[in-house]
Amino acid sequence: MNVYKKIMDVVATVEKLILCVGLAFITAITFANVVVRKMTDSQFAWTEEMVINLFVLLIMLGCALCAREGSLISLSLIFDLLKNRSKKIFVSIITVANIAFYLVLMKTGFDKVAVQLANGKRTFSLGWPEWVFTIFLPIGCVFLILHTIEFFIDVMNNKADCVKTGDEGGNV
Amino acid sequence: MINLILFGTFFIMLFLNIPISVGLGLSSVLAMVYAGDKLSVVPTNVYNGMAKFLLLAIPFFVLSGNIMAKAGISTRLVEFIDDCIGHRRGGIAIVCVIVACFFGAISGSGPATVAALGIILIPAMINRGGFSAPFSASLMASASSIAIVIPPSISFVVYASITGVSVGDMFMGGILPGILMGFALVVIIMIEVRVKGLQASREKASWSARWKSFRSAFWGFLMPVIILGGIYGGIFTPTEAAAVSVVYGLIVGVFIYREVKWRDLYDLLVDSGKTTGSIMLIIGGATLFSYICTVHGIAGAAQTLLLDISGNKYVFLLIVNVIFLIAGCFVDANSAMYIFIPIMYPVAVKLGIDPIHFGVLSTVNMAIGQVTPPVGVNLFVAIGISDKLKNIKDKTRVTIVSMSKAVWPMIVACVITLLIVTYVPFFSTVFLGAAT
Repeated sequence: MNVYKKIMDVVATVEKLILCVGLAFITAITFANVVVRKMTDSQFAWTEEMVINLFVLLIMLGCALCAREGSLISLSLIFDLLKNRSKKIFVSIITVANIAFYLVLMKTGFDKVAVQLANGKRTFSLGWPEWVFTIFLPIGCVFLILHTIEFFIDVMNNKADCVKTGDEGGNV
Repeated sequence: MINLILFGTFFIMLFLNIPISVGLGLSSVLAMVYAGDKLSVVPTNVYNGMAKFLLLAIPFFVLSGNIMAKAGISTRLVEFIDDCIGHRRGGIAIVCVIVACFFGAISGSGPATVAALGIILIPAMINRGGFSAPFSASLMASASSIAIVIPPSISFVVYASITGVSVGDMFMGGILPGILMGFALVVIIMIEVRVKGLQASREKASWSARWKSFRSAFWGFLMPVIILGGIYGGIFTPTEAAAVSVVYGLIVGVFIYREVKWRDLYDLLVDSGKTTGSIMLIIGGATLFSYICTVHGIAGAAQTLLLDISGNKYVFLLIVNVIFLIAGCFVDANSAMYIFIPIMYPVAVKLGIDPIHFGVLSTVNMAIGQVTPPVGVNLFVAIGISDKLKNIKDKTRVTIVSMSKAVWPMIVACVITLLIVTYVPFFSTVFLGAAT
């Protein structure tokens, strides 16, 4: 399992890099749009399309990094009261539910990409093939699934924060 | 039956600690499978729910808030407000409320405000002010909840994206109710000061000291002016304002305060990306959930029911408050908005309630939800900070139980504010005329 963890570390580093550069890029381009509009009375119409679609990729990567730590927003009211053994049962159920949803989203997402590839539709402003952006969603799901499995393995090996306390008590 | 599958499975998953985004999405998928719907609408709804230019304001506001926190703006704001009123009885606690309001005008998130200010103000309230540890932590959590009512606010952006109202108007609508919540908390502080017989804890600062700390905090005060002024001056849209606030935060942090190093940016960007991702996937899942409610007539039936039960807008608003206060105890503000606003908003409009007023009162509800036990998110951030504090005079352990006792007067004060905001639209609409 150490090999899987090592691979995931590399994957996470790449994700962080893309997230970092991507967020800086969309911020810079949105800011630049204001400056250009003020100075030249014109604006890049394509920027809006570019940034909102790139935003979807960043959301998926951000979530994937959260999934790795089990830190996606959830209601941990009951979970926090549990002892480690029960926590592991909960995490098993959570992992199944998470992967089920990500698989549905990934499968239907790739189906949509296939449809868009076939019909050759292009985006409104940039004129790029639509699937170029749509594919961000199912690709993001692949990373979410990989990290969900990573978190599951960490919990089972007592390496995740939520089961690390060692006192076998809840952390109320 | 489809209602039961949709809501039943969602609540089961919620209590199983399954991420809210997944709970919303998976319960929708199960309802669709039951109804025999095609699943091809799943990616379309999730994608379109997230890919909105308006929502792009969320990562920018999260990032600018993180940059300003790193830039040390919290310490500077605390120093200035402390120089102004810290010499009064209970002064440091009042400083906590005022600084939280100002920090809320920089950051649009409650937990981020607790995290940035709690580390300075919770120990100061205990050691200098003489307040108990649970009271100090609870006050920090409650004061920070004002951050989502005072503009800029992520909740306002979310409300505007659901209903199509102007974000700028929402921002204006939140100013007075936010200040009102601050006043309500100050009343609670004054009562605590008198009950405990606490005395003033520092000398009055000189005017020159105040001027010096003001100059240091000035760049923080300028940020909300730029955001609101820019939106209302027609210079930029709310999303662009958020991007401008990031650039402004960087200039202040890197070149003026010199506390943000270029190498810090990597972590700031990654952290902001993670926070945003977690919020936005909920919005994606909630868009799908809301779509199912609409196409299967659940939303319509709930609206008819709401209209029948309430009859008039006063009873309707009371029902809205009760539903939101209960929901706020269990789910985060954005999920609650996506689940309930599409149902309630058309009824509110039908009953002649101003959309901005409705948005503001919904957000005040959400703010209270951030400090209601058992799962008020601000309480947990405050507990996390309190656990790490050392050399504290009051050794009472800050837990959700001790905080639940300390926080209830603050919740009562905020609920009274909520009722005022609910039944006196003036507070949320007074600045709208001036703005338009």
